[in-house]
Amino acid sequence: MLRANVAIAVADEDRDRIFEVAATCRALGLDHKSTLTDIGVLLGSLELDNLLRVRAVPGVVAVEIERDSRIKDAFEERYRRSETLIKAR
Amino acid sequence: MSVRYTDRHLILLPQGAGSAACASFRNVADIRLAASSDWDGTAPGIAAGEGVLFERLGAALVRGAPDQVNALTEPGRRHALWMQPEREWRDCRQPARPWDAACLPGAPWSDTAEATWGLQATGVLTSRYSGNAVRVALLDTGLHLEHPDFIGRRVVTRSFVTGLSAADVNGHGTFCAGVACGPRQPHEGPRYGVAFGAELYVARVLDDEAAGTDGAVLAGIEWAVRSGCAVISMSLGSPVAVEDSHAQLYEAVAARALAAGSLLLAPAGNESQRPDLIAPVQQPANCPSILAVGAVDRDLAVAPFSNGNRFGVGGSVDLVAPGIAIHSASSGTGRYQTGSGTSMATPFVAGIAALLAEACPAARGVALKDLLLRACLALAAAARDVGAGVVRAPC
Repeated sequence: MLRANVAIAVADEDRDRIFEVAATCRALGLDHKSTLTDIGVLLGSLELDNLLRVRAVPGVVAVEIERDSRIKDAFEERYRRSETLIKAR
Repeated sequence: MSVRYTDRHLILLPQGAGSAACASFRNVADIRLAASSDWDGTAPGIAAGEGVLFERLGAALVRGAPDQVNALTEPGRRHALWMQPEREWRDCRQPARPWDAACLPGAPWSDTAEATWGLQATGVLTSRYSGNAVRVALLDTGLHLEHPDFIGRRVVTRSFVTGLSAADVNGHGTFCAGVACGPRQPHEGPRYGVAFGAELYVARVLDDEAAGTDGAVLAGIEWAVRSGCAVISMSLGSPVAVEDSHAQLYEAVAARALAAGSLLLAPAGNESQRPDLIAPVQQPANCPSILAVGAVDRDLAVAPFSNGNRFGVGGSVDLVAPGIAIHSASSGTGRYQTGSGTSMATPFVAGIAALLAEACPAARGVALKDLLLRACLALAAAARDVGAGVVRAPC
């Protein structure tokens, strides 16, 4: 069974019961890693088959499968290693 | 500084109301309208309980007590289609304090012994603000804590990458922190940092290869919001397809951060190859509540790699900042380096947001976002590429 890291956003009006929402999600298979109370987000991992069931939990507004963030800029060192082009990614 | 209003109201009349408005305004609100041809435009020309009718425009300008004005817009009474307080307009040649943008001569710009071209082009050098006591968060690869330009500086750090400290070995985080909050007088070379008086909060959310995950980024945002950071700069992102909509989760988080007084910034992305290819604004910058920053060169022309919005769908560029041949701090032995990318443009905006936050202590969240956009210098390029224009520092 495929499992993915997920971030779950809890609705504004349900943020005061975020731990209750988390408990419901755990019962549906969420391996709950952390709760970001200030921004109303649960982090954890989930079997993909359970994704829609978690999305349907009252108080859940979005479930995102974690994706990588990367940067793609061009660097050129100066002064001590001048004119050396380094690609960050 | 908010928009200033007079004690008068502008009213849009129903189609064809014309002279009939004179009678209805008098009967409903006890406001007497005169014809615009009889009005000389000066403030004393409209006394309390009076107004002027611009019959050809289908509009009126009135001065009345709140109950008089409100009577015109009561449900069921269609005497006014739309109403707003009259704004005060300003002469662009006389900047108003404290947030009006610096007057800038034209491009092209170049680095000098004193300062980088980006600081000159955005009016930072002539600003009286330093971001003093404003908290600015950088979510990136960390910070080179032994860099001579940051030794002695109060910096709060936290790592959200398992097994790694906040010490930066990649260089990207140190570079961005330098642009946003580098010192007034660097150890060597020209000044390159914008908000040298700001309090720097560094969250490590990317690993040594400058890659990271949503979990770390979200944890970093949470930490910055909880720490009371007015500005959160994230020089990171993931490319998206043209048809992709923004992530609901990031939009919800960004809206909550704004409500808590924290403004999020992210780069538009570097996937374009202009003029042939304009790649869409990447995630998370494509969220409406996150300011998407594009890049311009020394001529204030759009950088060839800077993403945009070609088809009117997806995220938009909100504003642009210097992003080509930018000089800043390095984590390497060279101590300094130059770089190009929308990653470099984003901390420019973060630093200037800190200057504005110092200039207008009441402006946080949405109000700070509005100030930043209003202070931009409009450019000739299409709005889809540059948004409101190039960011400018308060005088």
